[in-house]
Amino acid sequence: MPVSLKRDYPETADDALVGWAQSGDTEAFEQLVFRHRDKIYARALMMMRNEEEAVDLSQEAWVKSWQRLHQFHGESSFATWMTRIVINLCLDQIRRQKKMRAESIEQLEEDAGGVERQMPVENTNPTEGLEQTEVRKRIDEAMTRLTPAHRTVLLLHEFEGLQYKEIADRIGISIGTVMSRLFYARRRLASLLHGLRRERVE
Amino acid sequence: MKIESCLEIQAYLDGELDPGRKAAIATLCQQDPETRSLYDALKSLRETVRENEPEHRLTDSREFYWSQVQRRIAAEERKNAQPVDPQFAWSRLIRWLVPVGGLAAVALGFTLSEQPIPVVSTFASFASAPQAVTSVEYRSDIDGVTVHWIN
Repeated sequence: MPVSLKRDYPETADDALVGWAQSGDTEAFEQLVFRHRDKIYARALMMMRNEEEAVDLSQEAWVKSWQRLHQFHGESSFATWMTRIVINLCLDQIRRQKKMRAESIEQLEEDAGGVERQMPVENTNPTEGLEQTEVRKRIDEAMTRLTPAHRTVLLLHEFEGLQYKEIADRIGISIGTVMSRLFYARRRLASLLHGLRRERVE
Repeated sequence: MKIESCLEIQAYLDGELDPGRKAAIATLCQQDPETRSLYDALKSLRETVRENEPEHRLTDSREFYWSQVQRRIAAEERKNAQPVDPQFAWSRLIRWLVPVGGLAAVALGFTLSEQPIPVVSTFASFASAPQAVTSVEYRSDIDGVTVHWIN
């Protein structure tokens, strides 16, 4: 595909770049990759908690998006469409890993639920007075300590803005399970953030 | 507090509660300290998380990352474009044709020779008579045939 010298890729909005890419303009697609690669990688890393896997899955997501570009008609933003592709790839990978790996007792207890009711309600803000970079770092660290099941529900709800039913359909669980996992994830996260604050103070 | 109540408070916070229960939970939040405490804690955590999404950046350079993506796209396109190996297809066909052809040849042979195709009965039994008179009996239950050969 000959490159058009008149096209200003960096200054062009996603919609136009997608249109050019759909016509076979690989430079337009490359610009989209450059523009969104960090976000796609970040989403994969938050789900998988492994850098190598996250890079691999993010690249696979770009390959899939190239193959399916003709199916994108602008119903959502390109970034949203891309994050959904990478999330689905991550979910598939997590399911494959779950089949191969025996669940730890802790994970089974967390999935079964009930533990969250015993956690004390923490009303003080554990991130108060901290710089944003530090807050983000602590949240990231705390999310690492959640199980994949709880982390996925939290991520889809808080960062992807999906509703309970959308999450249930995406993961293949009931709405009730979404609600209980989200509740547990939030309570556990709050507890972990308070714990991290106490560790830093000590 | 029961888990069902906790989940209702959470659903109320997330705007996912049935309209019929909204007013009741809103009232409970105002009147019950325990409900209020849980609602505030969930709300605080939700806001903190949403406003502080962790950021991660790729360490690979733009060119390197793009070259990896290009390589994978090219590999997929090669895989999808690969034609069926004619030698492979032919060998599979031969493997199926040989036994079928063999059976057909045997059947044709019997037809042309006008000989009855021998039937082997699995229930055929053989018995022999006492030594003074030698005889051989052949009986087939399936065919309903009994043959006595006396010497």
